[in-house]
Amino acid sequence: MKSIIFLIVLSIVIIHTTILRNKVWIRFGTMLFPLILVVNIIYNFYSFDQINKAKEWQLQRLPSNELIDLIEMMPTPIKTPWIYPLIGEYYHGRTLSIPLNLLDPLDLSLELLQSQGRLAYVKTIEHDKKLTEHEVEMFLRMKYVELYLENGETYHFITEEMGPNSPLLILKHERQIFIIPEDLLLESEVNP
Amino acid sequence: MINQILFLFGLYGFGVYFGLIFKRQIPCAFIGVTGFLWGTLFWVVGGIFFKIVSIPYTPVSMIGFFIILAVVFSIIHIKMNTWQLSRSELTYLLLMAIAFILVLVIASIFNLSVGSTDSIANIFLGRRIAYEGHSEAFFQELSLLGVYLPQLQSASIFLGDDYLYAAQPAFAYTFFLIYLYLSHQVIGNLFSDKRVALALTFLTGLVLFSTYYMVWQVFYIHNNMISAVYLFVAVSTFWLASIEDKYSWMIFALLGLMGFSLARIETPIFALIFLVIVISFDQFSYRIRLISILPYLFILSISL
Repeated sequence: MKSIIFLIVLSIVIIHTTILRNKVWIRFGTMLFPLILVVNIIYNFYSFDQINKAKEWQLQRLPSNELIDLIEMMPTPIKTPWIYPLIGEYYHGRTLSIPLNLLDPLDLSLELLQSQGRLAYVKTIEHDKKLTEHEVEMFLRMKYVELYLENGETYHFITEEMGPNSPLLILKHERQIFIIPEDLLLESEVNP
Repeated sequence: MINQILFLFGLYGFGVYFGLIFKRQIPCAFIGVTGFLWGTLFWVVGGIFFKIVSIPYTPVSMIGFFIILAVVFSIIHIKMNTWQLSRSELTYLLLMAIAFILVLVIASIFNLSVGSTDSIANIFLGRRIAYEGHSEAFFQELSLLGVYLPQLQSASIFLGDDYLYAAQPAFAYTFFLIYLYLSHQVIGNLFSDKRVALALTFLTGLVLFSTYYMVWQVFYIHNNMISAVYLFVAVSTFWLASIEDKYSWMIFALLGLMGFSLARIETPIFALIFLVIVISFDQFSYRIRLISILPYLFILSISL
């Protein structure tokens, strides 16, 4: 079928070239070419929505002009090294404690946490507290920012208002990691 | 949001102010359309310059840099008597400025930005420039990306924004206008009928900018659009320099080539191939070619 269409179009072009001779390119430039362009523009407008819906990276209005919304709208998960600057965005200048037993499983570097995370101080602590389901539920009721990592883990940056100098603590429950101000943790233990 | 609009508009205005130095040879239409490209290029080159001379990269140092440039441009304007604008030039530039600020406002209110791994890497790298300056760790990461976008995005910290969301649409808008302007020049040379030339210019422009991939690139935070617009300007203005026999076009061709070279890590290779053609082109004297090329080669060599 395609070959027949091609032959027909080719025949029309040859006939036109023979009849019109030099005028054929003027006719092409002033009539046929603009027509092709108009059809192309109409097709582009018509197909735009369908192509956009079919694509993984869709054009859509972001909920806000914050970086976190741009990241969350991405179809690809977040890479672990991005955690450092993101910690800096939410906890700049704070002190962070990491339980020793979490340092390797989380694949975090103390040096990068301090430099890229722009934290005042990063320390390791002996802390083997296991989070209960109830505590996790309580954390998830607080104000937080959620980030899905490519390794399947989810970071929860707890941003609930607390003393600005309250030290931070990283805690893990199954595939969920929480960065929580220690004051909030203590309060949750006192008022469960 | 307001800070970002004013910042990008300021860069546009500065670029126009620079372009007006050449208004005796270059049409005002071109200067009004390309202002944003030269303003942002000065910002990026300024950041690189501070790294080289070990001056801290801060808002104060950048403002100082732009004040010095403005003084230099003003002296040139006074000396060349290019500071006076006719009523038609003034009207045109004002309309262009209003249109540009409208694009920035709309792009800021309706933020359709698209991000990928590269986008986030560029944004984070930009934020690190503002926080840490140009550290060794920064240069290791930069070896995978061009310097242009991170350097531009670094301004977001000074503005109190998370990232520059209106910059990509501003580049795309500039590209659209330059495309219309320069393709009209090309088509105008092929068709004697001005109406046909105008119609074909708009139709080809609309075909290109209604294509899904092109629209998507308008909002995609990446160096693709930036490198494309600079390369397009470089090639087209060099072509105009050759057919109009005007030396000033060469300056814009080389500036375009500089922007293209800084946008991606592999672009200097392509730019140097283009430069070989420029050097071998004997329409202009050897002195003019040397004056045009040397600043470009100097900035390129120190930025690499």
